[in-house]
Amino acid sequence: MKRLMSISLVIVLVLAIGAMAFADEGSLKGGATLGATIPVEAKIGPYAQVIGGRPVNFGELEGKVGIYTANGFDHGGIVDQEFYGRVKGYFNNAPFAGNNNGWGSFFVESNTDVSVCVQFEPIDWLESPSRFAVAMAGAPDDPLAWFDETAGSFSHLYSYHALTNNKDTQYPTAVLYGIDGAIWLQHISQQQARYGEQNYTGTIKITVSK
Amino acid sequence: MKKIALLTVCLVFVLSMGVFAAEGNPHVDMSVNVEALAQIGPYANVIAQKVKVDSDCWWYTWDEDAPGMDFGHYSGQAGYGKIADSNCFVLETNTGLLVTFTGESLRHESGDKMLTRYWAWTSRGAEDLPKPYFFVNFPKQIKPYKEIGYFGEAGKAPRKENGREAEQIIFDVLKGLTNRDFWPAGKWDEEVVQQYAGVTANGFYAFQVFGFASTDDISSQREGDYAGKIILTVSK
Repeated sequence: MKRLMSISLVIVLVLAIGAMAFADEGSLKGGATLGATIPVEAKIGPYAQVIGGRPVNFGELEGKVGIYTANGFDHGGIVDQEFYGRVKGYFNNAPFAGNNNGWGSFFVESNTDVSVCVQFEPIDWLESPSRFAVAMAGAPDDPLAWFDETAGSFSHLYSYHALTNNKDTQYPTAVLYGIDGAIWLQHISQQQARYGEQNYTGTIKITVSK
Repeated sequence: MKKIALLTVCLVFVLSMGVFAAEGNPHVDMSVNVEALAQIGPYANVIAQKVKVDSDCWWYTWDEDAPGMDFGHYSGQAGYGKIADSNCFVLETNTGLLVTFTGESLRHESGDKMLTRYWAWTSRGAEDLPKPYFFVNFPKQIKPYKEIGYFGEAGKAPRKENGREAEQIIFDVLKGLTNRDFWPAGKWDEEVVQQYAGVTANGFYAFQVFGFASTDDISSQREGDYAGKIILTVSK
């Protein structure tokens, strides 16, 4: 009986406390105050935007056999420390043939963690195998994903926005990612030369999903 | 002799008190005044009230809902602003009071905040929820009467580059008619509190509060549930 009374009192007290948030009544003597509260709520759904930046531009390959890269040299051109050093293993350690500072980029802004999928579509591309890697701008030595016609993916975390790696770009609230590329010219006649106004073209598709 | 003298002194003493006593022939009305004294301390009751419309065929009735200002769902798009209302405070008091409005921004448990401001008005009055009159009539407590002002935490004003079309139109029309943009603007370096000193006597008073809330940049506030508060405090 006593336990039932205690439980009942607790229940009444809890309900009373819940009710008091919306109402208050009492004396105002001696500087006392009364207050009532209206709770306010909202819900934000997952949202992201992805914006294309620079194209991956290999420039004009000389034509000799070897690995050509589109990479912003970050290590003074010591090729084994540059993107060439990271990609050559995919291409039987073929020799370095040349580089163009034509790394590509894209921006991702989100309010949640998202998955970013990257895939190369060789619309009118060389016969020579190609390989690409995505890294956060400022950290090219740590590729987040490798891809070619087979897609690669990585996680863009909401916490990346705190890194603010692109304050000076046109999208200062987004995270900037760089794309380095490599082409392995296996033999001279592997494809027809195109230069001047003519280009081989492909597309890198970037897909963001939850 | 001594006894008579003593009685006489007592009688004189009683007669000299006069105010609290009357003496004489009871067939003639006699009366005394006994003072009655009472005091009432300052007292008040304040409740948050949310009214809603229930429809029954073509009649509308007013009913109470659980107090709360719900801005609903945001997609996460940058600069998406909304306004919310239909909440009021009803105050019953027996004295003049100072009414203070404070507001807490919509906040995620991580600390991320939405851009939030509130706007207080006095209402036309306070009444029991009216019965239907023709098709619809509005309780006095949700008829805004006089503006008190905007209040809320320090920070930027809610944005409105994106939002519900109806609201965008309404505010554009209001601006066209009054030459004033009612959407809150500007950045506050400190919290803004509104005080109202118009409660000067006993009676019922009602106050209506509107809210404005928006996202900032996409990554400025993470996905999830946000909660805030509107607080009315009364004091002498």
